[in-house]
Amino acid sequence: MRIGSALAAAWLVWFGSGCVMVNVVGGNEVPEERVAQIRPGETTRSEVLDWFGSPAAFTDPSGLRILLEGAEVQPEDVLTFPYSDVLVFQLTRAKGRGLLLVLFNYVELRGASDRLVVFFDDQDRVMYYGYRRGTDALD
Amino acid sequence: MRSIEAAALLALSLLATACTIERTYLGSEILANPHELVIVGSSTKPQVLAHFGPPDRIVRQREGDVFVYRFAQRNGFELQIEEPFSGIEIFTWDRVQEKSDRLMVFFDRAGVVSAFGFRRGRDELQPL
Repeated sequence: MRIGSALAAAWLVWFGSGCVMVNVVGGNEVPEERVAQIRPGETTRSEVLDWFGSPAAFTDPSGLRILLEGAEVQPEDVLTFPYSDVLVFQLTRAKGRGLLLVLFNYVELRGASDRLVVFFDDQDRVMYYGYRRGTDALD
Repeated sequence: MRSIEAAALLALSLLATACTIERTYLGSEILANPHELVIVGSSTKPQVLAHFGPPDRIVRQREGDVFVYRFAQRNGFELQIEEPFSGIEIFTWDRVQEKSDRLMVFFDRAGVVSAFGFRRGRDELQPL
């Protein structure tokens, strides 16, 4: 009988447990070597668009939004009103992992972005910019 | 007697379907203490961008921009007991805490900090 119980418990653990890993990427890479070439007062808007491509309209790519649907921790839009004097370039990554056992589950999800925000003056030259490689913290 | 205990334990395991702990982190940590770096009436937008990086949100106002930085954490704990055959939930207990470290920096039209607010909300998270 003891062997039967042990076998039943082993069956329960074997078939009832699992591991989950999720990796979501949204947006385009922000080339770091190009960021270093931005010179306030010199670099123009067309150069920035040429280097980084089309700017991101939102901080939140659809994949991440779907993944976090229902949770209130969704990222907000970077720019409420996308004025043309600020461009946002962004790559968002979300990494999740989970341990699913019979009686205990642990799920962890982390989301972060590489983001470049560039401000332009009325001559279409860069005034200032901010850049952060936030996805490094996910590794 | 031992076999009865084992059977009871097995039955309980089948009943108590899940205890789930969830951790969600969103955004990047606020890099420094704004109280040490941001000076109202003196700090400028480029300085704030250099200290804290690009904001998570920019709000355009007539009086000047507002930069919002946010690092959110969500801690969840759920205990769920189901009837194993019908799937009927007998008992569910949920506890969710969501807190953010949040920094808001207000600029005037010249791009100089006119005010800022900062709170390390994640410090208020309680262990489950």
